[in-house]
Formats: sequence, structure tokens, C-alpha cells
Amino acid sequence: MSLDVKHFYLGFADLSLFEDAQLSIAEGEIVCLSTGVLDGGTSFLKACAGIVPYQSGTLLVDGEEISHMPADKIFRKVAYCYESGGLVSLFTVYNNIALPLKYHRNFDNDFVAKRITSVAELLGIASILEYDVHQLNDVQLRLVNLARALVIRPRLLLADELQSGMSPAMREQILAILKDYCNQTRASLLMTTTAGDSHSIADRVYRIENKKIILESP
Amino acid sequence: MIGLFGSYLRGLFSYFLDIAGLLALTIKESRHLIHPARRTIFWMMFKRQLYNTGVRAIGINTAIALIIGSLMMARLYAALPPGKSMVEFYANFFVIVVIRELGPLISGVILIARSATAITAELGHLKLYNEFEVLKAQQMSPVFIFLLPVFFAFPLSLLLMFIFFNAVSISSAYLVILLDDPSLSFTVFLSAILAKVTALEVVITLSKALIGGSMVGLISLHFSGRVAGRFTDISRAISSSTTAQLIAFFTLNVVLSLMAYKL
Repeated sequence: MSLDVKHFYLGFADLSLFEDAQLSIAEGEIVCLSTGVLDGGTSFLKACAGIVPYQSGTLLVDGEEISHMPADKIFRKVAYCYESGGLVSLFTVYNNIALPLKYHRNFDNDFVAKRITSVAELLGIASILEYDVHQLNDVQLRLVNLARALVIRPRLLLADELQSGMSPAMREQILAILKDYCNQTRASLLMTTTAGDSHSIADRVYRIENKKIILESP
Repeated sequence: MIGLFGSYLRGLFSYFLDIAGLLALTIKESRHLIHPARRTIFWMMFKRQLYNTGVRAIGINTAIALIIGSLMMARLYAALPPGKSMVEFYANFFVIVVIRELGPLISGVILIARSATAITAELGHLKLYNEFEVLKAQQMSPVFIFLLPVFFAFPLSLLLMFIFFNAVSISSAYLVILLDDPSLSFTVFLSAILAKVTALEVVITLSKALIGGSMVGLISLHFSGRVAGRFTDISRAISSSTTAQLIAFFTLNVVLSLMAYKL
């Protein structure tokens, strides 16, 4: 799936985050967006997921404007992984992952359970599926967010500072899983990174500078 | 002074508009119930809400109904002179005081104190920590998942609480009266009370439960939605919603009872 952002303007009240920003990601590509502090990386990803409205420009997912896409279609195509939080504290980890799948698709419980278990085992979080959200640490929260995204099998995966707090070994393992996922499904991945994060799987790396998205390394 | 009055009126108007908007939104979101999978989610949340609101209130409801029935109503029976007409007078009094007024009022106050405050705090917490946005990010409707179960569970819980309160009051009143008058049969006692329960009583009781319960739910949802970025917003929301709910529920009871008396 492709993502095409042109003449993109995004801001909140008096704060302008992006002005005339551009970014293109082709089907199956993995792109990292290197971010600093409060430079708008999270808001950009949320805009790409249709969560945050942007002021002007075009944001095309597979040639279709995200703001005009019906909710069910966005759900099937795009998944966003929160850097922090991102889970509903009233539900267990399992129900947090299962709820969107049950809400949008008419899958039976066994099918949902099988799919969740296989992704949870892959990410090494099978043992925490019955935990409450408050029992998780930051890394586990991000992995649960990733699991919820992967069970949907999205065509565009948006991961916000996923690697933060991970050990080098865990980081490489998770990145390898993401690379395999993109290779097998031809899904695209846009991942924000911060100091010390790995760009080893990225086809290209961008950074945010002066409210624009600048190519850092091909 | 005029400015202050105008500002108060504007606030009141905006409050009623918000409640009406919330009601419209809740009804609109009911369309998701057609979707079988979403119906399962709704059912899960609805059962949880009904259990917390209705079933878990049984203890306090029983305690108050026992006090009203066994002390107040049984003592009143003992104070009446003997005679068939007095039993009829007593039954009439029982229906007006307990079934029409006290049952709904006390059940409503229990609902507001136990469940509506909890819902305001729960939803306020979700709002404070942006958890509604989490659902929106998954393209799910927070109104459908969190608000709709409350909207439907509150009136139903209140109705069940009314019925339960009346049943316990009647039974406890009878049991205590039996100590003074062992010849009184339960069938005679119950028939005398039920004979005074007219269709109008049923309609008024149903209206109090359904309108009152929905109103209490909507007010909780309204005030929890006003929680912004501070933790103290939650305590303020609970305090404001409880006040508004008590005023609204008492007003509704008075209005419906006056209508019933006049009809």
C-alpha cells in the first residue's frame, strides 16, 4: 500500500507543526522518520491514521484521501501503534487486542483467539494476555499496541517510537518480525524513531526539520 | 446583575442543548446494534453495567426497603383501628406512599449515589487519559461502546430496583404485621395492595424508571464528557452531575406524581 503526502499543513491552535511537508512511501517499503522532542512526529503519524485532522494538503492512502475514507476501510488498511498508552484501561490486554477485531469483523471467538495467540507468541507477550493494562510496563504497552495492529493485518502500519526502552536483542527481534511482515504482505511501514533507535530495516530515513520532512539517508 | 443572569441562562440553555444532543447521538449510535459482532460487544458491556448498577445494589435496596416496610408501614398498620375499610385505607396508603413515591425516590437516590457517580468517575477517567481517542484510532465508536450500555442499563436497573424495593417492602411489612395480627393472610394483604395498583400507577412507575434512569445516565455522560486535562475535573464532574441528577430526578418524580393525582 502506498502513502502519499503533499503540501501538508498541520497545527494546533497557535502551534504550527508542519508547513508544506511532503512524503511518499511505496507498497512494501519501510520508512523511518527520525524525530526530536515535540517536533510533531506523533501528530504526523496520527494524521496518517486519520485520527488527527490536518489543515490542508493531501494525504493519500493507496490513492484515496484518508479524510474521505469510511471508518471500516481505514480500519482494514491502516493501523497505528501508540508510543504510550493506547489501550483502554477497563479491559484486559486480550480484550484490548480482540475488541477492534470483533467490532469490525464478524469473526468467531475461536478464530479471534487463534489469531491473537499466534501474534502474541510471535512477539513474546502470550504470558501477559490476561493482565490488566495497569500491570504493563512501557515496552509491554508498545508490544501490545503492535500486536493489536498485527492481528488486523493492515496494509499500512504506523508505529510511533516502537523501539524505545527495548534491549538491543529485543529490538532486532521485533524489527525482524516487522520486516518479515512487510515482505510477506507487501504492507508499508512508517516508524518514528528517536536517539539510539535502529534504522537497520529502513529503505529510507527521513527527519523533521523546520516543519518539513527531509530525506536523511536513502 | 443582568449579565450574571444572562450568563446563567445561557449556561442552562447550553446544558439542555448538550443533553438533547447526547440523547440524539446515543439514539443514532444504536444503529450499530444491527451488526451481529457489535451487538455481542454491546451485550458484554450492557451485562456488566446491569450487574454493577442493578444487581450489586440489591443489598442496600433490601436494607432500606426492610426498614421502610417493617418499621414504618407495619407500625402504621398497627395504629389503624380494625376493620375491612381500614385494610383498604392502609392498602391505598401503601400504594401512594411506598409504590408511587418512596420506592422510586429511594431507588433513584441509590442509583445516583452508587452507580451514576461511579460511571461519571469511570468515563471521566477515560476522557482524562485520552482513552476515547484510542477507540477512535481503531475506528470504533466510543459512544456505542461506553455510553450506549449506560443509557440502556440505567432505566432497566432502576425499574428492577423499583420492583425489588416494592416486593421487599410488602413482604417485610406483612411479616411484622403478622406478629400483631396472625390471622391476616398474605393473599388478603397482597390482594388489598394490588387492587389499589391501577394501570395509571404502572404507567407512572414505568415512566419514572425509564425517563428517570435515562436522564440520570445522560447527565453522568454529559458531565464526564466535560472532563478536560486535570484530575480535579473528575471530582468536579461527579459533584456537578450528582447535584444535577438529584434535582432532575426529584423534579421528574414530582411532575409525574402531580400528573397522576390530577388525572
